[in-house]
Amino acid sequence: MLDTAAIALLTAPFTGVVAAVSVPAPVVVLLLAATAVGVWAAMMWLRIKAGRRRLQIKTDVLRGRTRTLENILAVSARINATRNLSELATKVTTAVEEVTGFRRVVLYLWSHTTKAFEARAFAGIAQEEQATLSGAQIMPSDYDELSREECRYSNCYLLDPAGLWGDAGYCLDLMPNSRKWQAGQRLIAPLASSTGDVIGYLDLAEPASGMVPDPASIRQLEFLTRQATTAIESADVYDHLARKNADLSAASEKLNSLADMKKNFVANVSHELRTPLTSISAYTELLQKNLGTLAPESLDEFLKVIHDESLKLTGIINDILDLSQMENNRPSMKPVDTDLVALAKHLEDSWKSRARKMDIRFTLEATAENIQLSLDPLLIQQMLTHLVGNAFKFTPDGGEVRVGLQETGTAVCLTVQDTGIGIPADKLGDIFESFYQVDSSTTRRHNGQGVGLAICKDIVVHHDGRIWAENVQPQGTRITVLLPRRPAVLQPADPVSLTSLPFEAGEFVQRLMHWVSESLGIQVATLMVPDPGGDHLTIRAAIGLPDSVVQSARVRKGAGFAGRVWESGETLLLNDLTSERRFGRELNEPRYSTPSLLCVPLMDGDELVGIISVNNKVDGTALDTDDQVFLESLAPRLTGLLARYESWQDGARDFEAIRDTLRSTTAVGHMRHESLLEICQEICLASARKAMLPGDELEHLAFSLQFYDVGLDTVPAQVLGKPGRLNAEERRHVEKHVDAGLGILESLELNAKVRQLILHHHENFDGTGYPVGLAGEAIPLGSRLIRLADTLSSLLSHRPWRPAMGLDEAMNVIRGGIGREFCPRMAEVFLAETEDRRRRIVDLQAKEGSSADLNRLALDRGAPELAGV
Amino acid sequence: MNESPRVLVVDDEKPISTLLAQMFEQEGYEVANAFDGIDCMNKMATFRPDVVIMDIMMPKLDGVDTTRLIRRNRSYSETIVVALSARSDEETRQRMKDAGANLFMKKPFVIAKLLARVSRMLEIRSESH
Repeated sequence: MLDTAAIALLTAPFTGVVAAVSVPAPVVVLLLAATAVGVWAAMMWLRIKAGRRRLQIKTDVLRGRTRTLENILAVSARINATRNLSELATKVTTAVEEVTGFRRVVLYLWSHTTKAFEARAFAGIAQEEQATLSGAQIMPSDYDELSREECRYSNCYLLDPAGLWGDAGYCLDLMPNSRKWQAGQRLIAPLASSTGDVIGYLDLAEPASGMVPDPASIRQLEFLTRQATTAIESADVYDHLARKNADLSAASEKLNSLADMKKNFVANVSHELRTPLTSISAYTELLQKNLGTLAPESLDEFLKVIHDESLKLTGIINDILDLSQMENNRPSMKPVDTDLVALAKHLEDSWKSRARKMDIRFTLEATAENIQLSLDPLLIQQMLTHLVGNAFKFTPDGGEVRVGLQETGTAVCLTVQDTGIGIPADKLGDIFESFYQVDSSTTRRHNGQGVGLAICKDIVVHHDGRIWAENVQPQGTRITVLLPRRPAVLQPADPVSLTSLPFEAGEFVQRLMHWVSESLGIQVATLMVPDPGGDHLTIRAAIGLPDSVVQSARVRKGAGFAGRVWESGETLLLNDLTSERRFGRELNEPRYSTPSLLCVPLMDGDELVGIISVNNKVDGTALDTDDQVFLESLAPRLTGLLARYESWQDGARDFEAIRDTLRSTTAVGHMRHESLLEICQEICLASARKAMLPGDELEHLAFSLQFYDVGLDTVPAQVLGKPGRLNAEERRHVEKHVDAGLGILESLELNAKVRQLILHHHENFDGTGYPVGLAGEAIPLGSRLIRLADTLSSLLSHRPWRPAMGLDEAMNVIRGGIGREFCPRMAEVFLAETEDRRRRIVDLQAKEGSSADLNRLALDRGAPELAGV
Repeated sequence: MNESPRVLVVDDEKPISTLLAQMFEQEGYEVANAFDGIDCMNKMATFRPDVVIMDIMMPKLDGVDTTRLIRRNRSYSETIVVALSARSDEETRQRMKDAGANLFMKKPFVIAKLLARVSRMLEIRSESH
């Protein structure tokens, strides 16, 4: 009726006109009333139609997003399955082109050799241009030009060479929803590793839509670049492993070379035998022919030559027989754990008796009672016999021969020293020259030395050791042999097997440790984890340690190497334990056979989930910073694998299930008051920027805001939709949604920080929240902001147990919760940002109100613990 | 034969080289010794031998390369090179032959046989002139 009256009033000026054409007044009133009803009906119809269209648009958008999300998940799975770097680079560019709709995509990757970014893959770029781009090197300074802060758009950079938009920064919330893409513009998407290093970037241009991508598309792009970064880093690690494998095959080839030596043996040995034989036979022939006519001096001379050459021949034949005997017994070297001291003592008696006969003093000294080493005892015995025999041979009566065995940090040092004639300085390097040289034209001889020293050198080389000779004052020679500690032959690591594991309990972790030890080439690797009480570390898996140690080891925080790492959260690399006084005691433990140790914490956010400790490098060298960098780069992956293993243990959750959940979650999630939710997210991000949250954390927050409550899907609908307060059990259901959400997101290889943000988004500032009960500043800043945004969007929306609140009422509720649920500092910033958007919120609420029915149909959610307010 | 043929014995093994020198001298040859390939090339120019007794495994320059150098010089094309080696495998024989040696004998050798072969080869050479 009011409407009718108003229309009557409004149309009053026309009444006179109508009256003037002499139509009766009641008719005019009736006519006007009918018109008013018609107008009202039309307006209602239009509103309903508009509502439907909005719904249709929303549904379309949702379908589109779901498709995109599925696409992204499929693409990341594809990317993550690729290990070859160039193939991977191509896949990444194709994926980016496919998902983001950019027509020109160039992937630049950092090259460690040229210290510059180089174009590695293209999409939508003509061949000639590809060649030009490939040739160019983008220096770090060039990249800095591309990534100027004023061009920042989320975590990407929007370059606008024409300067069409002025120099305003393009932040997520400042960015207008739609802008036309201008020719010459470029979008730079950095590939930043978890440590913040930029390993490459994508150079994008010409979006198919002709528009600057909106924040949601940018987030999709950034999600994709994160996946690509992980995959590229994996490919790098794989590369490293492949190289390690190559090293290992080289090592096994070396073992096989003994067989090759044998092949060349006959050809080479014949020459060594024939040389003295030639002299013997020629002089004998001469003697036979000229016996009667020879002068006595000549006869003496000839006989001496024959005798000397015969001795030489005997020596060579003995060496060869010894060797061939060994060769017949084994096809290749077989290292076994041997006590070198016992081996030497075993030979000592024969040396001593020989020394007595020759009136030579003989001593055998060892720095330890036993020196364990992995070696071939027969070969080493052969070497010892020859070296000591040689020393006796060249030492005149009354001289001295000393054999020493000494442990150094990474090797065992064997010396044989005599007081003999010494070796001419220019021959010192030649005496070990290989007897087995394949090149027949080589011009070498083993005059006087026989072939023994060359054989010795071969034996030493096959133990990865070194041998050299030096003359000592006042006279004599010292031969030194360094034998590194080494284990049995390593089997090449197979990184592929890790991904296709049968998930037998324990086996997974054990194989993980094998993988680590083989990648690093170390003998002892230990994975320690905090026990449930959190006050001790126990060994979860170990390589190269006796079971008794594994079962009994318990390390307190702050004690031992691992305990110190636990306390500090930082890597510990000790190159020389002997010089580290504070660790002196632990050195006595037999498992530290080399005085070098590397201990890396596995951190999941701020939480320590384990410690990997390695020592005893296979080649006897000390662990160095290269090893540290490698193990540290593996650490996040190991943490992820461990976490995944735990979740697999909890129950089978396959990728399909996760994807389905995500799909339904996002579909439903977007149906609720999209605009209000978005504006709350915008407030949240704006507050974060005001609070000076650094760029990467902003990005984590933006990502978390999208997914923080996917876990609500695991809460039964009747609990979520229940009007009124929840009982204790229902409340527990709701509280579990945080963990459940993280479980669902597991497959996305979430950044640890994102997981932290999501994990703690229901913590209260006073410590009464869930799931952990963190309080105050201990709650991540982003989580505190998500808490505020979640509450605000919930309060402003209709709930089954209460109607939507007005903005002032909602803000009052938040004010009332400051210090209890909310962080005072963040709440202040958040409320100020909310106030700035009052107009838009009020408008939106008015619109939402008209589609209240729709809201009621949607699966509703929010902050149920605030249901009472 | 107006003058004694000249023999250059190239071998780094002292006993062998001494013995060979004595043997050839006894047979009436003029003899010089060289102890490696470089030494041999120097003496080729000053001594101008008719026959070179060439060892193969020698320091500095081995017998194969030395023979090749000799054959590269046209003024030595008439010189007879007798390879004498403890390496008697087919590959070494072939390499020595390719380098231009006229005869290959393996060590240990019978002195009388070596002398007979050398003398026979010198005869053939003078007949063909």
